[in-house]
Amino acid sequence: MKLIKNGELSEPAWIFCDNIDHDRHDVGQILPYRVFLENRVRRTNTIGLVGIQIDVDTELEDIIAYFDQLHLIVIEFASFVDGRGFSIAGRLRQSLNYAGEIWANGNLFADQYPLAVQCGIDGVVVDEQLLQRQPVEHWRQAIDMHPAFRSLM
Amino acid sequence: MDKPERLSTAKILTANDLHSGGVVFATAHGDWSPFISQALLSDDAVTNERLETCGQHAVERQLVVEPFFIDVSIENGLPRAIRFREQLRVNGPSVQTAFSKPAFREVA
Amino acid sequence: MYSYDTFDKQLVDNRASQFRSQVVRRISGALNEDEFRPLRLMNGLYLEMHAYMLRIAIPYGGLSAPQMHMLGDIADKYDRGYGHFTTRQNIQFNWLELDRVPELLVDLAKVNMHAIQSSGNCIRNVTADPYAGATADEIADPRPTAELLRQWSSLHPEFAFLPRKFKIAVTGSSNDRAAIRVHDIGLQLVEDEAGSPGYKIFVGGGLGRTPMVGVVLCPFLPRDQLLAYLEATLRVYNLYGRRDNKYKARIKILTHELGIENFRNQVEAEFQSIKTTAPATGPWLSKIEDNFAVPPFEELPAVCKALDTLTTSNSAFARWVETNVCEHKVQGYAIANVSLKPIGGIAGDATSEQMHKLAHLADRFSLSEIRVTKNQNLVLPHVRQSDLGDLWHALQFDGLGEANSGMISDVVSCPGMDYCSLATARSIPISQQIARRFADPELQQKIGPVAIKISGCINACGHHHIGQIGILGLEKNGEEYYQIVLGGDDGEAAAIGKVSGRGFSKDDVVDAVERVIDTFLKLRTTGELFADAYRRFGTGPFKEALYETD
Repeated sequence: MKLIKNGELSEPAWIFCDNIDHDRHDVGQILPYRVFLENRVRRTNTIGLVGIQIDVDTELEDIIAYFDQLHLIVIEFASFVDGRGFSIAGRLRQSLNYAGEIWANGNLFADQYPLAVQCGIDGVVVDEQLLQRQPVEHWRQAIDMHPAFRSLM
Repeated sequence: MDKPERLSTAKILTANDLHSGGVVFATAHGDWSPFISQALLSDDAVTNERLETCGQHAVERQLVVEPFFIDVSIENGLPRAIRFREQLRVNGPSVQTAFSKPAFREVA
Repeated sequence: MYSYDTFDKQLVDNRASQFRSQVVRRISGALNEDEFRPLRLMNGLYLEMHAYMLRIAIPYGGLSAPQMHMLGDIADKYDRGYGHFTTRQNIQFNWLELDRVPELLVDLAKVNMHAIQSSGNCIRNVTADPYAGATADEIADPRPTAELLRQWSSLHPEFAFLPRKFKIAVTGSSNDRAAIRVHDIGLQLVEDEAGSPGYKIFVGGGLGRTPMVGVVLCPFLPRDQLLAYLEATLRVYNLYGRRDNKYKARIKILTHELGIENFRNQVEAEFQSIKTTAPATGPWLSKIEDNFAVPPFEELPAVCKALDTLTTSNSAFARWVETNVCEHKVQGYAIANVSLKPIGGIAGDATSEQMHKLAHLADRFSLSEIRVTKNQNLVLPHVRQSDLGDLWHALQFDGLGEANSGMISDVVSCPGMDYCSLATARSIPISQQIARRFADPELQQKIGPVAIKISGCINACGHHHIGQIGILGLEKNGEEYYQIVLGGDDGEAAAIGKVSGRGFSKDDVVDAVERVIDTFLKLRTTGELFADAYRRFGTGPFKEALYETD
């Protein structure tokens, strides 16, 4: 997968999985949050880095207890015009003090990158097709050209 | 397809020009004209499809925005939008004739 | 007026550059139309029927003379020599080209103006009482609060992709000239028993397809908690507002479906969790108040002999004073309403020439300040009573002197199907016909104040739901036809009007309105207002008159 983070394009050592692969320690695994919760409950062996995918229906109260075990939360945006993911990030950071990494996944485009960052999102997952139209330079430019937001001053 | 003079109604494809925002019509040459008189008239599925493809390509090439079909009646060989709202779109606001648009041009 | 600081200046300059970059990338195809659309809407740019339309933000309806001059320049340089003042205190230009909009924004930025968030699913222009800072009946000036909300909401990253648009209005007076009860959030400046400042907060008002009067979300919120409380409210709305149906996506639907208690509890819970980390209102608001300079009012006598003399000798002037001039909080001053509803003209429109003239008049007569009202008129808020005569003469000369503020010919009308791709019928021609039918000044005086509002479609930008006589333009069998709505109110007694019955053709609707007025004139006691007569008699006699031939 490809990720825009800190104005750079990278291929992070993470994969999306439907289930935990106990034998893989070379990459971080991003699990659907329900799968994560079931596995936590069953107290299986811990593996390498673990992350979860959440969406607009996820009850954040259910995952608060695992914050210090989660290296990554990926917020699934239903579409790029569906701004709920920004408020979910807002809640995670502001109300619940989550200090790990947050990525956004859901066809967000370059001009939304500054908004995501200001909401506490660290990285935006992008696909090849989008990068054809919007190479990493556009994402950097979007950050550079975004007027300052007063509340952050 | 019947000659225009023999049609009583037809469909044409219209859109807004990306740059100017002005109303334009798909012509027989595959380009776009601000004059409704130059719109390609369609009364069959094949021409409809041809127009739709023309619209898609124009969108992809960043020429026009949101193409759609409208129904026209043919009067004296020239197309006229049937729906009143489309007439306003073609001709300009009814309340300020200073801004009426060049809806027709004599076909050469 | 508020003095913009370097931060504001940089923001509008940077915004103009940012938008240019977005236009360039749209034209190259790097951005497709689906991606570009929310971006251009967040810069107030619509693709309308005839061309691109730009809605320029006029924060809480306040303009300086230099800003009005710039609007006149823009009308000539980029458009067709005129602009349209809207029912949310903004201005629209109808004939723009995409390629030139970046340049236009650079020009606007020179006078600290912009089109930020005047459209899109975000927090829109915060509107306020157009008499703010001039009226005696406010407990405090609402403009600092409106300015605070403008600064807080501009480019707010969390609320740029809300379920739908979000509109806030503020009043400092219990006489609600800002229609706060039909906004997503309405704020009234109030004081508690100890005299501490705070806000009464209404939520879930709105017009459109499902008109509703707002309900009280919080009867008294201490002033210092405002931003935290609104952040909490917006976050709850952003997370739980409906996104499945564009016509059910406003906050009013959420408050209605959850019930106000449930909704309030959710807001409270969110508020508790963020109140220590949300932006602090107090210091921010104080700083803004410091940047609102008190106008240099002179010490004037209580009675203005010149005004009295002219009023006695010139009946046309006297009529204008009666309809268009209101009391000012400072002795010797007056609030002058400038009508943009000349008989037979287009509601809310002004030519570039008129804009320049108004800017000059503001400099000369109103301490350089102009306000825009939600009824598509303008206000010169600080006029010396001794200047009213000269002002009136000048306004007459420029076609701005119609003595009809709040009267029957002061018809609020959205642009309608002549301009708007959402419209189902034209509204401007109907408003013109009504104005012509009731043009006679003595007849207007006899009828007294009455609020007629026309919308060209169910989206209700003409505010027909809250007109005392509202008209909704629809389409039936390819023909325009018009529903009449009666008993609406846009003030502190806010009410949604009721549909009277079947609609009227465009040829019959003005006669129908006349029957309503004739009925009123027959039933009323001397000097009774239309609104009061309607309340007294109810809809019965008016419906009867409307459909007497049925």
